[in-house]
Parts: sequence; structure tokens; C-alpha cells
Amino acid sequence: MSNSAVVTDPAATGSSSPPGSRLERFVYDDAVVRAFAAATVVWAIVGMLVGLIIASQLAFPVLNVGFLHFGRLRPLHTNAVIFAFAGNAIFTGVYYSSQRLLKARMFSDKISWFHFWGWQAIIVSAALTLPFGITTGKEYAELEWPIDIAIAVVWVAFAINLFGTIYKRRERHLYVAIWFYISCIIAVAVLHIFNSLEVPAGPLKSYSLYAGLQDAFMQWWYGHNAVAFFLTTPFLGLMYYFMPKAADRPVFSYKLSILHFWSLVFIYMWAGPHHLHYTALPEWASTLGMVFSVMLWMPSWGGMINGLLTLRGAWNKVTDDPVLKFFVAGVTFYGMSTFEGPMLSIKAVNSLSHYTDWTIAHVHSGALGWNGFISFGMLYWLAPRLFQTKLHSKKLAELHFWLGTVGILLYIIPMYTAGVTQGLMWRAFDETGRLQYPDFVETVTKLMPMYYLRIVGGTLFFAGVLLAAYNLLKTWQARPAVYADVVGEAPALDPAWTDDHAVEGGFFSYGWHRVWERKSLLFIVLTALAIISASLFEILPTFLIKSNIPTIASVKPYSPLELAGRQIYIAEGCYNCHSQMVRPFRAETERYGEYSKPGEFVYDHPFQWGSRRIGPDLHRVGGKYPSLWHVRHMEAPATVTKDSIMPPFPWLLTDELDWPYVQKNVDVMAMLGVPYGENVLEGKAEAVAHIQAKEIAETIEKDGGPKGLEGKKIIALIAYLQRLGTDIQQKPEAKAAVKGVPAGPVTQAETHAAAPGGAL
Amino acid sequence: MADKDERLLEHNYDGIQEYDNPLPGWWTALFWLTIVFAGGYYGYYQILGMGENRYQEYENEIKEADVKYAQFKLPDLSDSEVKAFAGDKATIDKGAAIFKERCAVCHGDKGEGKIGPNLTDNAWIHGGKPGQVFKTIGNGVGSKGMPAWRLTLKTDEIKAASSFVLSLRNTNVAGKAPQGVVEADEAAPVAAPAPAPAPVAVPAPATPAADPAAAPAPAPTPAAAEAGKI
Repeated sequence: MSNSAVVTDPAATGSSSPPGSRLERFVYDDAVVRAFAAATVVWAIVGMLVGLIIASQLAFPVLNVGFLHFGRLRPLHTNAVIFAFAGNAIFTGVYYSSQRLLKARMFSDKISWFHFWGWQAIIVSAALTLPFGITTGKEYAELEWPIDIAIAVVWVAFAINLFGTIYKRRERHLYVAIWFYISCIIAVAVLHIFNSLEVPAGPLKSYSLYAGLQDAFMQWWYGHNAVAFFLTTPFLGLMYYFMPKAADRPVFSYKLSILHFWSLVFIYMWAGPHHLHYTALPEWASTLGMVFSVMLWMPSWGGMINGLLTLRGAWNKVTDDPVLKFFVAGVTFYGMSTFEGPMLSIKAVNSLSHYTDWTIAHVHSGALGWNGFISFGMLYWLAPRLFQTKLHSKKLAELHFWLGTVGILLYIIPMYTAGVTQGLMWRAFDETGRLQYPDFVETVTKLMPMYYLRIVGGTLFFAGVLLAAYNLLKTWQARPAVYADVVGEAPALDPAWTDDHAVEGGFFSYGWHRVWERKSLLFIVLTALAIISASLFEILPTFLIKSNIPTIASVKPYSPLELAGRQIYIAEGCYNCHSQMVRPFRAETERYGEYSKPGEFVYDHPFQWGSRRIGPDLHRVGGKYPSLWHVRHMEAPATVTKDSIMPPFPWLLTDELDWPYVQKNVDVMAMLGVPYGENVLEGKAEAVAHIQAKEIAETIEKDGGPKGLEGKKIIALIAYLQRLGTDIQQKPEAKAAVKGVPAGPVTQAETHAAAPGGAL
Repeated sequence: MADKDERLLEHNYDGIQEYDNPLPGWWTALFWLTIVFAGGYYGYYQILGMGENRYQEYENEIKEADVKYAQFKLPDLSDSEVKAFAGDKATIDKGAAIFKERCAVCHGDKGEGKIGPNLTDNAWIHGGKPGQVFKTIGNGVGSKGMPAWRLTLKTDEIKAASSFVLSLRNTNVAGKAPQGVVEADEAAPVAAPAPAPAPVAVPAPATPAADPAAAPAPAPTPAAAEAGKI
């Protein structure tokens, strides 16, 4: 370092130093920022390319090649875009801005690089597991337990690094960007750890500690707040640093910063249940989720206002500066998304939008518009500073902006259209009271033109990303032979400094908050308290109030074979397209059957309620079709359901079930409290499973199906599907037969006996 | 440029400054409004319990539909009533089209049987009498994966489909082996698999009054609807 040239960070001049104090000089660590920036671009390309592929698979099902089908690739897309692209963008911005806002080099270079390489390794391990069906089956938390542990370790390292930097800072007060970073670090740690509590069932397999309703609740507490504290608060922090820097204008309102920060941090935590409206979640939780989401509207818009009004007096610059264009559009998309979010959380709206592409449109206006544009605006602003040269081409950056904007619009408008169309088709009745579109596939084929258009939009956005990669690469190539050290200057904090003007003015002048800002530990603790207390208000009642889950006596644990089939369902990612939750609407009970009850899911580790119906709901699929139908359907869906876009799963007919694993699954479930009886424990599960498999295989053969399926995966999957949602049909008498044997295999005969109800 | 009366705070973070602007009035007002709404909404529905919950809403929706669509429920037809229209060429042709679209997937293009049984022999699992065939198509056979087509097809269409299926009898297309009980031609079962329904009442199709007579409750009440689905 000492041999290289030294430049003083031009931005560092603003630091207010009391006269006479000793100026300290230090070198910013921009090398790790450069590494994170490069990773951001690389993972943007990978994540969005996978996005394009899966969008194409929906439009052209022939592109589902073997095991690289939609169900397995979609988690790769979501994980890559959220945790790889957005994650690295966050770290780029946090490492760059925190050092400058705190007037200190990062706490430890070693931790910085451990963070960088650890995070990339996690992403690579995601790419090496998800396509192979190694998944926990919980959306956006699919990574298996060893990776979960690695995430926790790397995240704690990040926390130590940032909090350590805060500790050794030379800036007495914490700026609003840092507040948002703190909330991100604390909340993500809490969310990740508590949602990922799971019991290993092998080196790369685990089952959620929670079951059914509680698992769903935890998952969406996590899922919603991953949006909040991974895709929102850190990006607000980035906005608060990079936007005023790029515009060279003061932030519009300090008071607004304070109010919208605290209200956002506290209120966000409650809103998760809006992902579970009209499900088996208790109504009180659903209503709480809705009203807190409505209250989130203004706290979110506080950020948008502070962003956009910061540009007052600088709008002329926007015409000329692609960086500001990205920021303005990004913040505008943030405003749109955060209006739409509360709107979608209103139950009546949600009853239409849920499970449709409306959600997909909403997510992408946020992810592409807000996260994407803030990230790229930031990268373009950083490039000349990080690579110590001029940006290769402003024109290309402009072109990227316009490609991106048109791309987003061509993505979201068709998806909004598709969402509303499908939602309305699902609930349409004809004049005789029958479903207007009884064939689910009709509501899918109708969307095809929209799916084609989405590919166009996605391609444009992706083309913009490639332009950015080229532009940044060219900029990097023009870097100096040796980077000059970027030196900051600031006086050390005077330990003798006293709070002689501790609280200025009354409550509404926020002098008290000024005190919090200089007591960093207090600030961190208060943020943690806001996050944790808000969570506990909902989590505790969900777990403790018994009436949330009225028990249903006839609901029994899955048989060993069914359990093995359930694992195939999870591994193939069926939950990415199929829900298992019939909502209490006539349009759903007519289509699928009786609405789902909370007590039906008590043995579901993890829950599989799903969030999108690209295919129909499956909660009542048990007994709906002959087992032979499932064989034919899995082998080649379109031959059974014309125009079906479901991928074929022919290998399920030829691959041998992992029989030794049958026992392992049962044992882990028993450990989790599922009441399995002696007849399936201690190594007996496999034999029990074989009996059920034989019966199913014989039924299939008798119906004219293929022979020799007995040991194959398809039989386990069929066993699971035929069991789904049938337990509540069990008559109390029928139950008595199995009573002494709580875990006895539900044989094919029993399933059939149970299923007819009163049809004929 | 900023207003003259805007005050810049002395904060300076890496060159970033902040104004001491008050909260925008509309922002504060809307925030309060959402808080009041939240309290009111939660109180109305969850504390006072005045609003309907989702299950009450559902029950009401079902009751309303039961009344509104009562006249379109599947009637219970006797053998002779089915026979009355089953021989009509136009009806059979219409039924053939429906069969091709809906039934062929499981029963084969010619009714020779695939996933479901062969319909071209004279063996019947659920009875081959005209009234029984009509009923089996309408209500489905939950345990075998035969859908309750009354949820999808209008009564006329089920009539047409029944006519077509009855016309297949004894055409003996090579396909799946016969399943069920062989019945003598023309509704004289050799061995009735179940007590013949033999409905006494002659329900006039498309009149609500006739519906309660339908023994297996083909009315789209939720319970029956589910049963039919599963």
C-alpha cells in the first residue's frame, strides 16, 4: 500500500472536524468492493439467464429437458437473483459506503474476504444442489442444512465486520444508511436461523422442525421479511448514500428518515401472514397481516419521498446522467411496488390475485425495477471510482437504462394481464352455476400469448444486463496498472467528548434520536428489539394457542411409502406450480373439493401449500384419478391432458426408489413428534412400504398399465398423491380399524374405501 | 433549488447533508389514516366479531348458489326416461363429440378402454341400465377416478354422453378385457351388482321440486360436490 500513489477521496472533504483535533489518515478497502461488484454482475447474468430459461419453459414446455425442468430450476432462479445478484449488490454498496460514512477502513480485511469467498461458495453450492433435487422445499429457503449453516456463519462474519467498523468509526453519529444496514443484518440473521430450524435426515437432506400451519406461518414470516430486510431496507440504505452522492443534493428530510425507518422496521415484521389469506391460517393472524401491511404503505413511501425529493433542484441532471435515471426509475418502481403490496394484502384483492401471475408481476416490478435499477445505477456510479478511470461508455449505460425500462414494462404488463385473466377464469361460473372453465388447463393455455410477451420483456432486460457487463468490463480494462490507495482523513473520536448538548429541543425536533445515533450499541439493540418484539407478538400466539389448529381425529401420519413419495414431490419442486390449499370459495370447492382445514397438515414437515398455481391445486387429488392415470400423466402429461405445460417425469417410472431411505424418513419424522407406531420403527418401515407398493403396482397392472413398477419412484409418488387430502373422508368406524396401529400403511383398498364419501 | 426557509442540518456524512424539513402533511395524515383503519378493521372483525369470517362468508355463498342454481341440478332419470332420448341420432352424435373431448382419454377413442374400462362389451361395473349409465356419468365414481361430470357438463350434455355410451354397447371393439358383471342386453341384468335404484317418482327434469328425490344427492351441495371430486 505504502508504495502506491495516494489520492485523497474527494468526497471525504465534508467531514466536520472540531478544530485542533488530530486528523487520522486511513486507506479505504476498495479491493473487496471491486470483488463484490464483479460478483454482482456475474450473478446477475446467471440468475436472469435462468429466469429467461424457466420463462421459456412455461411458454414452450418442450424445453423441460430431463431433470432440468421448471420445478427444479425455478428455485435456482429465485435464489440466484435474490441472494447472489441482490446480495452481492448489497455487499458492494455496504462495503463501499460504510467505510466512508463511518470514516474507517472495514474492521478486518480477513473477515471481508472470508465474507466474499464464503458467500460465493454458498451460491455455487446452491447451483450444485438445487438442480439435483436437493432442497428443503421451502420457498426462498430451499438450501439444505449444511448450506444453511454456512449462510449463518458467513452472515455472522458480515455482522462482526460491519459492527466492528461501527465500533472503530471516526464519525460520531450513524447516518440513516447505516441504520438500514443494521436492520438488514439483524433481521436476516433472525429470520434465517429460525425459519431454517430443521432436523437432518442425511448429509444433504433435512426436514423442517415445524409442521403444517406453523411451518407455513414461519416460512412466510421469513419469506415476507426476506423481501423486507434483504430486498428493501439494505437497498434503502444504498439509496440514502448513492442518490445524494450522485445528485450532489442534501437529503430531503432527516425527520422523515427517522420516522419511516422505525415504522418500517417495526411494522414490516407483522405483515407476513398476508401471504396466507384464506388458507388454513387462523383468521386473526391473517387479519393482522393485512392491517399491518396497509400501515406499511406510508412508511415505505417515506423512503420514496426522501429519495425523489432529494432530487429537487437536480432534475436537470437526470436528463444527462444515466446513474440518476436508474435511481429515479428505481425509486419510482419502489413506490409502485409498495403501494401495490398493501393493496394485494387486502383480503378481497388477494382472493383474486393469490396463486396467479399478478404476484409474479408484483415481484418483478420490485426486483427488476427497484433492486435491479438501484444496483445498476450504483455500479455505474462506482465503476469510475473503483477502477479509477472514466466509465467506458455513458451512451451504452443510457441504452441499458432504456432497454431495462422497456423490458420491465413488457414483462410486468403481460403478467398483470395474465394474473387478472387467470384469477377471473378460476372463479367464473356459467348461467347454470357450473364452473365456466372446469378444465384447469384452459386457464393456462389462455395465458400463452402473455408468456411469449414476457420472454420478450425478459430478453430486453437481460440484453441490458449484458451491455452493463460489457461496459463495466471495458471500464475495468482501462484501469491503472496499480490502483492508487484511496485515503480518508478524519479526526479520531474524542473519548473525552461529553453529551453537553445531549437532547436539543423538544420531542419533535428529534434531539433524542441524535443521542441514539451516537450510541451505536444502543441503536443496534433498539433495532433488534423492534424486530424481535414485533415477531414474537405473532409467533408466540401461533405456536401457543391450541384453538388455532382444531385436531381432526381421522388425520393420520403418512405411511412410510407415502412419506417417501412426499420427498419425491419436494425434490422435483412440485410446489413451485401446485398448491395444496383449497380456499373456502365456492369456485374452489367446486373445482377441487372441500376446503382445507388446519388440522389436516399437522404431520406435514415441511408444509407444501405453495404460492402459485401454474397447475391445479392438489390438496384433494387423493383418489381423484386412478393410479394408472398418474402413471400415464407423469410419463407424458400432454397425452393425458391436452395442452398441459407440465414437464414429463418419465424417469420416475424407471428409477428405483431409494428404499433404505424409507426408514430414515420415518425415523426423522418420529423424532419430530409424528406419532409413528412400533410397526414402522426399528427397521420395519421398508417392509411395510413394500406391501403398499405391491398393492399399488398390482392395481396399475390390473388396470392395463405397465408391469414391474413396484420398486420404482412413481409408486411412492402415487401413494402420496392418492393419500393427499383423503384423511378427513375417513369414517370414524373405518378409523377404528387402524386405531391400534397409528402408522399402519394406508393400503390402496383403504384409500378407496375412504374416498368415495357419498358419491354413489 | 431548495426553498429559502429550508434549514440544512449541520450533519455531514461523507459530504451528504440533510434538510430539517418537516414531515409532509399528506404523508402524516395518510399514515394516521391507515393506523385508524387498521385498528378499526381489526376491532370490527377480530375483537367485536361483527364482520363475517371467511367460513361464514363461504356458507353464505353456498346457500345463495343452492337457491340460485337449483333448477340446473342433475335430475334423477329412470331407465325409460333415458331410453326416450338415448336412441336419437342427433343426440348420439352430440354425445360422440363430448366423448371424444372428455372421455376418450381414459376410455379410448372408440370406448375400447384405457385407464378406464372397455365400454364396448356388455360387462358393467356400475350397472349398464340406461338410468345407471346416466347416473354414473353424472355423479362419477370417486374411488375409481371417474369424475362427476355434472360439475362440468350441463344436463343436456350428460344426456348426450349417456346416449353415446349406451350406443357403444356390444360393439365389441378390441381393447381392455371385460370388467364387472355381464348383463343381458336391454336392461335385464343377469346379476345386478347393486339394488336397482328403480326410482318411482318421475322427476320432471329441470324442475327444482324433483331434486330432493334424487337419492345420491346429485345436487351440487358442497358435501356432494367434494365427494364427487374425490
